[in-house]
Amino acid sequence: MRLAIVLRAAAMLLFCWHGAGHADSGDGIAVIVARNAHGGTVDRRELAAIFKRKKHFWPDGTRIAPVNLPAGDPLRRAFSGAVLRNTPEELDDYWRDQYFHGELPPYVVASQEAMIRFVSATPGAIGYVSSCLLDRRVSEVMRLDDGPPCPRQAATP
Amino acid sequence: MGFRVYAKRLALPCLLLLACVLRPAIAGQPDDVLRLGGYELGRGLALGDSGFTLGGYATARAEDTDRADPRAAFSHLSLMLWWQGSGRFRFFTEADLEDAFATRRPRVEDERFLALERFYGDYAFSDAITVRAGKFLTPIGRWNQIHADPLVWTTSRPLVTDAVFPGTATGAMLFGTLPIADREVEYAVFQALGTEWRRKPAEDPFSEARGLRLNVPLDSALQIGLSLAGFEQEGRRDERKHLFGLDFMWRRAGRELSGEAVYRDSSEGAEQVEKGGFLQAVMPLGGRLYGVGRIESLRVAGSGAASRIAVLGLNYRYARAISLKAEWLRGSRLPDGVSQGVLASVSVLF
Repeated sequence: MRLAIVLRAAAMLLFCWHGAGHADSGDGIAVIVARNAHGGTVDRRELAAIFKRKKHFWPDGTRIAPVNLPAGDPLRRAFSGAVLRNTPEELDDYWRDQYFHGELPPYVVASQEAMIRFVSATPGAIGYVSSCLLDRRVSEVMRLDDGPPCPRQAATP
Repeated sequence: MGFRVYAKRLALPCLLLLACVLRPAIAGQPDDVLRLGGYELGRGLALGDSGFTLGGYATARAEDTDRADPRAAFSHLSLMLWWQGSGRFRFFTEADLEDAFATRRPRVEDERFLALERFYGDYAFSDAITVRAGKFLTPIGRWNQIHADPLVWTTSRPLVTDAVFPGTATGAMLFGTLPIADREVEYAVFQALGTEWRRKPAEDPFSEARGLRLNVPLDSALQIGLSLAGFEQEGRRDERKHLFGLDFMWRRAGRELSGEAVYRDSSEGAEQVEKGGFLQAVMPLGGRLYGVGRIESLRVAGSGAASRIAVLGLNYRYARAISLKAEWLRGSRLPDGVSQGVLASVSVLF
């Protein structure tokens, strides 16, 4: 009986240690759309086209509304590097040129919670959050591996 | 030797000295975005929830060139208005008040004129097929389609982007983005109908034209473009011209290398052939200051030898939407309207 308790406690310690170790590493980036919107998935090439405003429509004809975090946000920088292969600053010239043709960069929201709220409430919207913050309000259509640590865990002392 | 001659010779060294003085002061300045409430300079003003956005740019220009008195002008006040709803239709227009103020107006191009630069409607059938009807920028080369002063690095414009074909066309265009071999290839096919809306006094517009443009991104930094066109112009409707153009743009970490080359033949024979190109390099000098160098060549119809131009300049981006430029232009066999000397400008995208 004692042996079983000791083994169970050891197993729990091992599980907690493994979990903590996992939390210290970089988290994934979940690309999100409103729950039950559009269906299907997107690939990295399509995602780049969407966030450079080269792809405007979902398969059902809804206009796509890409959403970004502020340029200094670590998740925005990770997303920009992984998908667009450029930093937000390197894309400044691109957006200046696009503006001359009446094309504006994606709408910017202040936080990941604001991102989830905006995406869940806006037809055609697509955005991204740390995968650890995913909840029922949105659906994940793609997972990128190279995100910064989850802000929830990073905030824990 | 007069004061003006000394001033011209000293202009470039003074600019370079200014660059060296400014460099430590401006290096590493953080945010270059200017905001007023919800409005951000260079991003247009959304007119409530109407779907309309108002934007544009303005340029003040000064030049001191050989064999001419110095000249200053408020050369462009361009207003852009566009409407974009949640559907497939889109409307865009741009009107440009050219040379609203000028200290002197030596050529017809320098007269005050309210130009209709663009006026068109788009209907997007899909991402691959959008139809445009109205007056639009001729999709030949790269510079012509982003020629607004705050978007380009120099006050002067390369000859080959300005002299070989009309900058606007009135007619219809089919364009879009095609996913080909993991790349987003952009294409445009256009037909000009020969009834140019609000023709500029100094321009010889298309009487008929059709053409094709392709833009292929090779990676995140490099794009190449191909332009083909066949056209006639109002000035000589019996002269048929065919144009072949290649261009490229490489951008990485503030550095830029770009170029365009054009060959345009004529049904009137080899004497009327025009050919040329430019190569331009941009280097960050520190902070928001950039050095620009460009070489150009253009053989215009009816001339035996090519015009050659070298431009060396500075561009200080005070903010993302504000650009201060100064450049020194030298050349040989320059065509009418182009002179050696110093050009400077301040331009704002709003």
